[in-house]
Amino acid sequence: MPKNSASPLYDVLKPVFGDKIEARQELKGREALRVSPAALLEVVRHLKNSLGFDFLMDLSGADYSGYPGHQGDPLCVSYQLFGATTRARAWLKVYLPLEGAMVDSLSHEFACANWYERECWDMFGVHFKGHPNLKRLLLYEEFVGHPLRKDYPIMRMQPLIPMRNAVDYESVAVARRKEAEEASAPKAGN
Amino acid sequence: MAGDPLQEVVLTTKLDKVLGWARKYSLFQYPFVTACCGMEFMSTSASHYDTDRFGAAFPRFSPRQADLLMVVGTITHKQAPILKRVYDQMCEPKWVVAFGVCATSGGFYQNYGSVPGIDCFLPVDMYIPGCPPRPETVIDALLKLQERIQNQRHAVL
Repeated sequence: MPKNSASPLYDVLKPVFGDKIEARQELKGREALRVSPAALLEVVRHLKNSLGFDFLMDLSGADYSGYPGHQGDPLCVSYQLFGATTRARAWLKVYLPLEGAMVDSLSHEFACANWYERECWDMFGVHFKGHPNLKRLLLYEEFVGHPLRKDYPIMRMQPLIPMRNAVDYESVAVARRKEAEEASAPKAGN
Repeated sequence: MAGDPLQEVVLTTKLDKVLGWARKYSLFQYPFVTACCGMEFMSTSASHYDTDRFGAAFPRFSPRQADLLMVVGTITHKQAPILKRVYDQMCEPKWVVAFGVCATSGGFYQNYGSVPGIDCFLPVDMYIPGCPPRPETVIDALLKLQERIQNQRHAVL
């Protein structure tokens, strides 16, 4: 790839990987490539070894359950790569199902992926295959579930020590939602 | 009693009052600083506002030597057992100040991570509102706490 090449990454990768590059998305002038989860490691190795993307800038998770217009698997892991000599960026996304979300770990390609992936596991429950130490990064070991998933009750707390006077926000939230649903539901007989 | 020579040299008072007076002006604080309120705490204790003027500035970084626990900042559920342990290590008599809204009520955090106010597991004597509180607010709370210490009962074995 020539230095400062303007040719979109899609055109570079599509002939090499074919169907493994599933789609191309555009967001604010930047292209994101939707990669098949099974091929992620292969694509990243190619980017790193042949195209000079030598820095994993960021790895983040997102849960698109119920997101307007979203199709397919809801759980997304998004990778930002950067080439220090080419000054080019690559943005890859993989989409995973909520149950048994699993994708290859990049921690053997980029050491910094180690903690990113632990955080992503902690918050979204994405299992990174081949990670040397996949345990929670921010939350405590006793925590059950993955709080940034949409199906985690937004107000659920899991205290480690007994709490007194604490408002049970989870029940409050459930009651409020029920009230709102009842208010908006069409009344029988009308 | 006029003419009593003792009146010239002896001051009579109550034990509670003496102890209250002594304790309110020798507050040794343990700053449990977890978040951005710490900046405001520093400016309050440093020379511009100087809580030392009120006899309540000397920070001890061992809870065993402190009698005022300043909880400055957000307490998460992961942090709560640590704070509880720090509190348990402090000797009686001891007081707790919740510094800022996060320590007071959880502030704008209402989620899986944060404790909705440290009074869920600690007895709090003084709440300081604000995000972060202004130094004047902190000093006001300190004075109010001192007033309370002065007037409370000090049990002597």
